[in-house]
Amino acid sequence: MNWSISFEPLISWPLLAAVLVPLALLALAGLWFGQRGAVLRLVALAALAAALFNPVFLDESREPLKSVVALIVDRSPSQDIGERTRQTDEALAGLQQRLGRFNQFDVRVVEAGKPEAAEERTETRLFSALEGAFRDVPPSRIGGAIMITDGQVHDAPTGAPDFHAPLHALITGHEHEKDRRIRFENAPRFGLVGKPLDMSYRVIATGGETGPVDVRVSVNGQQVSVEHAIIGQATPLQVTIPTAGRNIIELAIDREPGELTETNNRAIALVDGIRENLRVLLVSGEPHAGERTWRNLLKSDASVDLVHFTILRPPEKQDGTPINELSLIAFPTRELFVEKIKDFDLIIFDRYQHRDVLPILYYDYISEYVEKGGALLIAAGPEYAGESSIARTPLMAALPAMPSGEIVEKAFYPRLTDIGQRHPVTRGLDGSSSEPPRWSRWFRTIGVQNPEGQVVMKGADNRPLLVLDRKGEGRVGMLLSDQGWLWARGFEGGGPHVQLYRRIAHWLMKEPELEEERLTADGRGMTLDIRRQTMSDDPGPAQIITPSGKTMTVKLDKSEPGIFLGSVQTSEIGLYQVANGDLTALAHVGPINAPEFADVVSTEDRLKAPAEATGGSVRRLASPSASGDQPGPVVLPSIVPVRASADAAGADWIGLRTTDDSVLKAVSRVPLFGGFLGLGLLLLAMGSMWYREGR
Amino acid sequence: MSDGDLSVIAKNLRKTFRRDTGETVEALADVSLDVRRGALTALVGPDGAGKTTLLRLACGLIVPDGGNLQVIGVDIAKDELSFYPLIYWPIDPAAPMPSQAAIARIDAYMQQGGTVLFDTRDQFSNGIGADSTSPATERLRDILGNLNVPPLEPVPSDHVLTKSFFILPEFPGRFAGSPLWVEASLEASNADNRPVRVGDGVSPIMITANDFAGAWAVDENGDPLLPTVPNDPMQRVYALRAGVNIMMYMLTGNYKSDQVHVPVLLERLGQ
Repeated sequence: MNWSISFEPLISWPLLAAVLVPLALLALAGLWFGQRGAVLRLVALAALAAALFNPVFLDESREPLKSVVALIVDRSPSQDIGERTRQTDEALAGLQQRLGRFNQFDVRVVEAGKPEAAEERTETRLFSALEGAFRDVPPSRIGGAIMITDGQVHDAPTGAPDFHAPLHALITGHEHEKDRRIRFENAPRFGLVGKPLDMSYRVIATGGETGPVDVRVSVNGQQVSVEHAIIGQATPLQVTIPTAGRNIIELAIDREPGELTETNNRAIALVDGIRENLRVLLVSGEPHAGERTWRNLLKSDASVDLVHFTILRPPEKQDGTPINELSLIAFPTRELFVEKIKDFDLIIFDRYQHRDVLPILYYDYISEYVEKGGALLIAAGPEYAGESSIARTPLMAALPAMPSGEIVEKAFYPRLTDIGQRHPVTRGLDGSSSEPPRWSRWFRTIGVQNPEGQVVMKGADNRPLLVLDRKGEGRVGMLLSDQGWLWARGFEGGGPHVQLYRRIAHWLMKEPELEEERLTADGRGMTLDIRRQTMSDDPGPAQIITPSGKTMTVKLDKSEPGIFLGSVQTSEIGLYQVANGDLTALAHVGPINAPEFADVVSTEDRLKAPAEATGGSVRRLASPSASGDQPGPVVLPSIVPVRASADAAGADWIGLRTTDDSVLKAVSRVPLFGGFLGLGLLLLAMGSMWYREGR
Repeated sequence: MSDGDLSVIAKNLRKTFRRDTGETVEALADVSLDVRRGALTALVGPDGAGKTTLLRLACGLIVPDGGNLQVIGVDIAKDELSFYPLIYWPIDPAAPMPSQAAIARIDAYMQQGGTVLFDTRDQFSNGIGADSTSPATERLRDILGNLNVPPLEPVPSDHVLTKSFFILPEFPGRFAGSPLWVEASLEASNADNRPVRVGDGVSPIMITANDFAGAWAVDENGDPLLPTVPNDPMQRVYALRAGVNIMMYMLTGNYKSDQVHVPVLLERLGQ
């Protein structure tokens, strides 16, 4: 109840003064001269004045507002360790019960830190949760906040937080927690295949622990070595990258007795294996308009070392020009095709025809080179159909298609065959999805008979245009038109020659990305994505072995020709093995070296500075049990409502601010001299005065 | 009928031959005709009417004594240009100025890896003074004004053009002395510090005033049609070699320049 009296004069103050001041002077003069009835006159005057001043009696009915108190509960994965969840739940229930006794507190419970399934970096972000909890509360009504956490808060400010009420933190776990963890200090993202890669790591332990520890090193799921590391010291490591594409390097240390968690006893590094210096030998049979297209493509490919030879002048052509006026280079055929042939990753014959330059025997060597795992590409022109075609040499053993002798010279759109729609070399080639394809026409197709292998593109009259084949361990490609350069020169808008040529070359060089049959798996947050690249209609489901050894099956759905996808939500963190048919893949699911799992030892330190800056406190919920490796019973501090200016923490209590804010519910208003009461008083005073004066 | 539809334009052609006997024969006197592209045009006349002479003129085998004859090889406004690795463009100030659209097509052609060889053929018709320019040079300037022309330099002594087939210190045509201008190569003196280029570094433009075609032109017996200036028989050989080198440069790009690195590459193989 709030009572107050206010004056609400009926007429304005100057008028009031003009009426009352002369009357008051008269009354005072009467009193001075001792006239009869002077006192009564004064009373009557006072009554008149009171009536004119119109005092009003106000009665406000107010309700005090509650202070808002937030309980921020850390539900991050590190809170699942040991007894922490139990402690947290116990503390939360206890606090809610205690706060329930104070009706001046409005309690909000905010659970924060639970990771999203697809989140890549798991972190505990309690301060953003705190900010969110009070977003709709005016600062004067904030009573304070209590965090129940293990203290590993990753968005804690180093100084005062932007929070103007006591912030208290109750730390789960206990002081004597032990943990060892391992982390990469230096892990390059890329490494050259077959070359050792320098990395370094560190084993970190709590409580100043030192000494040696064994570290198991695995590459792509295979243990390669056991290293000896000293705890606390950065240790160098050399790992040989086995394959192109993604490699998983895993370090693991054994679990110590009494250790908090095993999750951070492993560290993962993903290294992309890069093949260095693919050596390509490009032999152009004669200078022609398309020569620069192949040449420029291979020259601009950073991973390719190009050795290029063009037959500028065949040996039988002599015109008597003195040799010192010619700028011709000998073709080091013996060196290239006998001594160094096995060092090339790809040999391209670009419109090459058999000449006396190359001894017949050397074609045998090339066939043998292909059989043993080399790669050969024939970019055929009209000469392939002719008399001196290289198909008439011993190279024919390596060729997927013999010339029919026809040269079809008519305009056509190069098109993908049904197989080509699925084949990684031609799948999704820019412009292939429309009809006619969004690229220019070519004008020449070299006829072949009975191509072996896979025909992925077709030319005029549906003749084979691009044939890909495997011979022994090697690969052979054959492009049966010499007019790919029209795409490079922007004829009719050009075409995707770079994409096509590059994919042909890299497929021949066994680029893993371009394998027809390929299985890859990737972790995205806690989701495992599986991608199957295949030429078949249905690869069937994929089998998954989880890190703990459980197996499950995932259906793969077709997403585009030749691509099947599947994904599964997982709960375990670690390496998953995926199998489909003969193919296997390895993927790490879950946060890689996430802050959440890096350091899990409960601590008061991170929250000390921000809490104390607000007048709050940080304390542990439990002291260690007698044995030292388990927390004792939860001891909650008592809660004390405090004024804004007072201290907010003591040895066994935590203070929460109460607010002075209230809400106005109703106002009742009684005019004191209004109505019959005022009239009666006035008449009585006037009457008495008149009576007295009349005596 | 616009000029774009014509493939041969002859105006007031005159040609007189001097027989070995000394008598002069006027084969063509003031002949004008237009031949339309794609049209079948018959040249009818009695023996000695000058049919052969006209055709020879049209083929560029002989030059007229008077009048003007234009045989349009490539119509830059209409023909598909991307088939050509090189467009040889002798500048003729009397020919109509190409339209903006045609110039834009040439520009696009150059952007997509084509090369245009401009020949002003005026090495000795330029005046002596620094400011004097021949009409052909002025026409070239007008054309280049609408093209994206990179910075140019005379072919440096270590350029691929000097060794793409023949070893060639200079590029004479019917005239000698004019440098062959090509796109200025970036600072590439240091092999370790090779600049990264988007294209393959083949010059999209070449300019000469030496009249290459004049030196290459021969009659049906293979005899040259025009004397070289100065009259040195080797100059014609060099002019032909210049043509071969330019064509090799067009087809093989900078192939010759990286042959320098081949021994190193081969050395590295197998290591």
